[in-house]
Amino acid sequence: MDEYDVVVVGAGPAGSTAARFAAEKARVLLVDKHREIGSPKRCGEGLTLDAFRDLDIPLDKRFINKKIYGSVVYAPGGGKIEIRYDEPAGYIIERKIFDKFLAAEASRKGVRVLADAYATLNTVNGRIMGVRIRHQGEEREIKAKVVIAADGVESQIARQAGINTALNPRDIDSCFEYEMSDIKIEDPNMIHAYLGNKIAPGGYIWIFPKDDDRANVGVGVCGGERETAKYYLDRFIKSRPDLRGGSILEVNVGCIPVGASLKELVRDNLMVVGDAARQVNPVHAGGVHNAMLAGKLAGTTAAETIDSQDLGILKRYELGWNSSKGKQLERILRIRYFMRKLGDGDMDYLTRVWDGGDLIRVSEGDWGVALKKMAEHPRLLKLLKKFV
Amino acid sequence: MMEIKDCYGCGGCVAVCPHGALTIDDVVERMDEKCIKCRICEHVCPNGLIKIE
Ligand SMILES: Cc1cc2nc3c(=O)[nH]c(=O)nc-3n(C[C@H](O)[C@H](O)[C@H](O)COP(=O)(O)OP(=O)(O)OC[C@H]3O[C@@H](n4cnc5c(N)ncnc54)[C@H](O)[C@@H]3O)c2cc1C
Ligand code: SF4
Ligand code: SF4
Repeated sequence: MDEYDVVVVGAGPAGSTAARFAAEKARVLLVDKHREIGSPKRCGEGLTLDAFRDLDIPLDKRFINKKIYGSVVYAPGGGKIEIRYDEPAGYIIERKIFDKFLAAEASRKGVRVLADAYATLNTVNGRIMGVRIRHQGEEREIKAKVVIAADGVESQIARQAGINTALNPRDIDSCFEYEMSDIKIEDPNMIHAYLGNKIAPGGYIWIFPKDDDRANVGVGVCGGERETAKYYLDRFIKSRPDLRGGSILEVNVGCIPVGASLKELVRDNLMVVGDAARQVNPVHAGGVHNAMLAGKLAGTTAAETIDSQDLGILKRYELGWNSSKGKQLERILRIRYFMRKLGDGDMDYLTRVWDGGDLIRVSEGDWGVALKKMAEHPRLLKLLKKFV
Repeated sequence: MMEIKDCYGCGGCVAVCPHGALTIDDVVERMDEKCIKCRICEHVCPNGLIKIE
């Protein structure tokens, strides 16, 4: 039997970051069920500059496909909101290389990383003893003082510890995406998002350029729609002469937990981070930045716990997250519910009264001036009052 | 009867199943004894791969 201080399940952005910070004061094992870390990718691969800064990640050419200078959001009636910066505000990365880089960084800090290792929680008389892994057909028991569940949207580790992580289907975005090449992109320095109840009910279609003629073209729709995500994406592509002749380099299928963060992030000696803890922005459904922020907080807390041999310290992760980011995600979730109720005409109206700054602030949970600009639309204000 | 064909392993159905009836490694599997056929999982699959009768 192997013994570690901390075992992290899942080597996505949340797990690799948690492992790296935990390793400052603990012996850490990081396992992932896939044979290759980072693959298959389930992502549009957009990441803001802030994420690199917050986590001290280099702007390494090996995982940066394209600099992005802003975004254009299209309403169904032809209205649009554009926000453009002079400097790159974000990047379309290559997740397969990025995720592997984060895992390699963790290993440089002393973490032992193991791919092709499917984990289940190991409990004895209700006590979490560590995990069991199946590595290349062989079962092994791993003893650990702390277990970190970073096992993504499909998380089973937290459930095995008794935390209820089941999502209401309306709090999940069902996604389908193609990486397409040989397409025409109007402005490949920008990301493009298309809204509309017929185009992508409860979500949006995105074009995230990886090159001047190559992009992730995907859709997220609210779980529970009549048609599938694939249906909406294929229909959109067919309707667009700039896309429909393109080649398909990759097919990505995924679901995003957009119901705001779990409240219970720590139980006994188990911590939950990233998509497993539903720590995604409920409006734009980006989750990589938050996953790494949560990973850092959880990893640091785990290191302190091991260092002081006081399990009580683990709860600091939950308290810290819930009182800051967690609260913000709750606010954003209410905005998601508000947006879900908008008609196509309302979306066009908002593109007329809001500017790019308003849109960005709203998607971060801050109504500020955006609210004042809706003053002449009493019905929308009334609707808003129901949610915010 | 429940059929899941050509699953991509995205895990969406696992995340919404209220009864913990689905497990997933590379592809999803259902534990018959736990499933109550509520059909919630059917509605999130991005490619409509789950069919329950
Ligand atoms: C189509 C799509 C597009 C997206 N676009 C963007 C975007 O542009 N920008 C953005 O910021 N976010 C985006 N997201 C969200 C983003 O991908 C996730 O929020 C992010 O990957 C979460 O990181 P994580 O580490 O929590 O989970 P994951 O990256 O999902 O990692 C979890 C890991 O755990 C492993 N695992 C699971 N169970 C086990 C087990 N039992 N044993 C061992 N290993 C296990 C998995 O193999 C996986 O590697 C998108 C999501 C989808 C589906
Ligand atoms: S039908 Fe209901 S209980 Fe059965 S697997 Fe699907 S969500 Fe779970
Ligand atoms: S939602 Fe569909 S593709 Fe995803 S794991 Fe379930 S059956 Fe497979």
